[in-house]
Amino acid sequence: MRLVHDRNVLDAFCLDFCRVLERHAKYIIVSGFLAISSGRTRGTEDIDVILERLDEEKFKRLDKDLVKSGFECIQGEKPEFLYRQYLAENLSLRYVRRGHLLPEMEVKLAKDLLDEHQLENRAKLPLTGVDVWFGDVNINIAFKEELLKSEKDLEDARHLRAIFSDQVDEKKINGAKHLIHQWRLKT
Amino acid sequence: MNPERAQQIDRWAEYVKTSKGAWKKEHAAFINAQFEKSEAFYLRLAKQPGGKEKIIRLFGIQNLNAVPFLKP
Repeated sequence: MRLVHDRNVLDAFCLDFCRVLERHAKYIIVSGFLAISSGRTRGTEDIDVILERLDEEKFKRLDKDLVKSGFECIQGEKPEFLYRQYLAENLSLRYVRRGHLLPEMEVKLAKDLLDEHQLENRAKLPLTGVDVWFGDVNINIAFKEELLKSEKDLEDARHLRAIFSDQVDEKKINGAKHLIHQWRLKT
Repeated sequence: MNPERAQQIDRWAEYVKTSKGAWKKEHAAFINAQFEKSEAFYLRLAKQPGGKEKIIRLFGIQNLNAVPFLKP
């Protein structure tokens, strides 16, 4: 049983993990957890995080700190293996709190200018009550409406538009959609 | 999107914006319940014959130190 009083399990997991990340790299939390921590009621098993590009030595230091802080990568123990087989190939690593299967933190490195653009535009969102860096709300909406497009993602986007109606900027959303076409959809 | 579903999302979003934080308690209970149910299930499954192997395959676990209760 992991009751965390007023805070939910995902919030506590994210905060603890990001406290470690903060010491090593610029990061952003994106996608589902942004919607969920903004009040959306739906399930998820993982939290997506994008890190600025790190070299292998910096990643080794980060991994060591994560392990010391009670997290483990389920894909392996050797940081050089994890870096070369996953991060360097733009694949995600999945970390859990030691002894628990879920939730997972899905960690990947920024892979293109679009990810770097998101890192540059990161923001804290006090309404969530979770003091971590999030990807920009408008860019997240653009991703969900233009790239991901599942029922769940379109509902997330609708929820984000309603919650952050004072921050929604159609020009910014359309700009991000243009970048998505340029960098991810290549159209 | 189904119009009823869209309305439901809008109604909940409005509640989040106007309930002065009251939504957080309900939301936390909803989120926590999912993880408690899931964890309880996997702990039960791990005690069944072949259960640990099923979980290891399902999650693609290659580092058993991450989840020591799955060790043989």
